[in-house]
Amino acid sequence: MKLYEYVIRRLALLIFVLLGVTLLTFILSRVLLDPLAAYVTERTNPRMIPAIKRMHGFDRPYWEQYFFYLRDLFTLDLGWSKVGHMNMVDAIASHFPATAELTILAIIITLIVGIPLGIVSALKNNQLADHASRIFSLIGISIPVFWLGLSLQYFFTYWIKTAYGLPALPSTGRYDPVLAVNTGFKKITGFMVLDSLIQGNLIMTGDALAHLILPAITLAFLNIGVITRLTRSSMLEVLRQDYITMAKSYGLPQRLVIYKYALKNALIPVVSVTGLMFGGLLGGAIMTESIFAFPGMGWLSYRAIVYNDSNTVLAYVVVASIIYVVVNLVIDIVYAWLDPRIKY
Amino acid sequence: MMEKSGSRVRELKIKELKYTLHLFFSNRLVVIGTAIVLFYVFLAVFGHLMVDVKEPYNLDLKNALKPPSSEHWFGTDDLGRDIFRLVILGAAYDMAVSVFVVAVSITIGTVLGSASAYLGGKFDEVFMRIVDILFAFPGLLLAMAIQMILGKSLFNLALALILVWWASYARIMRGQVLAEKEKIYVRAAKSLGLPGYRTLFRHILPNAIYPLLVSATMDIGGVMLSAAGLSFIGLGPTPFEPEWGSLVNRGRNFLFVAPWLMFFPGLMILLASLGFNLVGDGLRDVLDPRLRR
Repeated sequence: MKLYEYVIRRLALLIFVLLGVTLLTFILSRVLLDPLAAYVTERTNPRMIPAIKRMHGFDRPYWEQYFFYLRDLFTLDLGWSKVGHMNMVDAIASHFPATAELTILAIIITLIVGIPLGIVSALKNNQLADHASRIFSLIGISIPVFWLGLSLQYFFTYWIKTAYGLPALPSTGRYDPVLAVNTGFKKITGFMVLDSLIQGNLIMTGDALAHLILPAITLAFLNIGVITRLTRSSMLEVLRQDYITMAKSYGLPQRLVIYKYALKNALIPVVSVTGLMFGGLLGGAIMTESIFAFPGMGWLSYRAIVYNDSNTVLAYVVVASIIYVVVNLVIDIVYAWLDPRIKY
Repeated sequence: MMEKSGSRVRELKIKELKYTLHLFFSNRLVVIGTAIVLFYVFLAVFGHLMVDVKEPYNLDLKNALKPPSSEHWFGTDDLGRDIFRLVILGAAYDMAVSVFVVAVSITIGTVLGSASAYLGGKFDEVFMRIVDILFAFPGLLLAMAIQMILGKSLFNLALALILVWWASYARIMRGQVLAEKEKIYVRAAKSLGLPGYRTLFRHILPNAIYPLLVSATMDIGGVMLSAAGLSFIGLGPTPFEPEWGSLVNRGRNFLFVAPWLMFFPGLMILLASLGFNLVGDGLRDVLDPRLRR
């Protein structure tokens, strides 16, 4: 099979998977949960309910509703987001940049810490440094996210200030709105760091980064373990291969062998897992975002579930799944491009 | 003659097992992991004999939010309940949910995954697409939605987690069986005229299941994290079921006043899942011939 045939086949499967996801979400949120909840408040007159049902088509048979729902998806008419207090498309558009910023920072921290730890661990196989980094990465995959988040929040927003008088980090939110008003900050793209840099507003850049750092560390900590372990095992495997032995026997310097010849091949699986991580995180980190009240996709979906806002749940799941599936596809293609040995 | 070779095989098997055990326990981290796991199993089984089972109902508002002391080792919560005792009682809930979820998921995953690989064809294609859909669906959200539909309880929490977890086992198992299916002994079994289900369950499965067992051990830790996470969000146990995640959730409201409320239950989760991960890590090193040194 040629690469483009493979891509076409994958795209066809992708459509199938996405249809399945929409069907599953539809059943969950329209059939099993009550879709009316998004449009009814305690002040709604009970006599209006049949009219509201008719207006949104909830009185139709389910199969009809599903087709209307698919039509709405294609025309981006996703209805009202009760928890977002705005139109669904606007709600997602305003929450997504927050999550994207958080994801990018978290992935950067993960890679900066995780890959070197994995390399050290592989080179010093079964020595003290190896054991230390293995324990560190095991703790990383064993730690409860919410506990880590709360602990970081306690130590860096409260304890260092009360115990040592050091400046504390902000505990919740994405930026300081008062500071934004005082420095004349304006939203352009929705990406706080980018917007403030464009406007040359370095005070806001600092503020946005200060809000980002704790949730980003929380997310990164969980992933560092995964990346370290993967880098270690794949590095160990590559170092055992003949071409490395040959490079060494040619008398090439150790550094060159490790960082040029071994690392390149060892990082291929790391690239694909990082991609998966990226796709997963872009969908929103429900727990981390809700602990730090960070207004991203995860926070939106968390509140949507808690307040029984099926509209938002539907929209969120579809968006998160599309991101995941597309990222997955891109990774597979990049993977095939990086490693010519792979066949379809 | 037959008997003799049989006992020789048995001897070799025992030798192999001894060697495996030796490898397993020569790793200090694995020994620590095993000790931790045994400690938690002990707490889960005998916890209710060590402390008063009525502790979750033991309200003592005069002594609310007391910091750790010789009387209350881990302090008291906002209702004056002793956190040390709650944490010990909680072991049974967390361990039971995790083991139950992994056991049921692995059973479903093994049966469906291997059947899909063995039957192949249309069935396999459709089945794998269903697994793909489950993978693309945000798992935590699916579990949350199921709890909203079925109602909040520990049992429903376990059900929701099973629905999310079985798919990954099915995928691993399918891959394993696909690889195993082509081997000569399977063809031999077929040519002997054994029925398909017998070939699959008696001959292929025992050879294919090892990687699944390793990931299951590690997953008990992972499932415990997810279960605690869901109940931290407020889905799952009632205030009188001292599951650790729900205790952390309770402590969240008093984070800056009484951090011990959330600290100790969370530490228990961390240690438990660390224990399972250590054991799983060791198991993988021992069972994977490529990593065997």
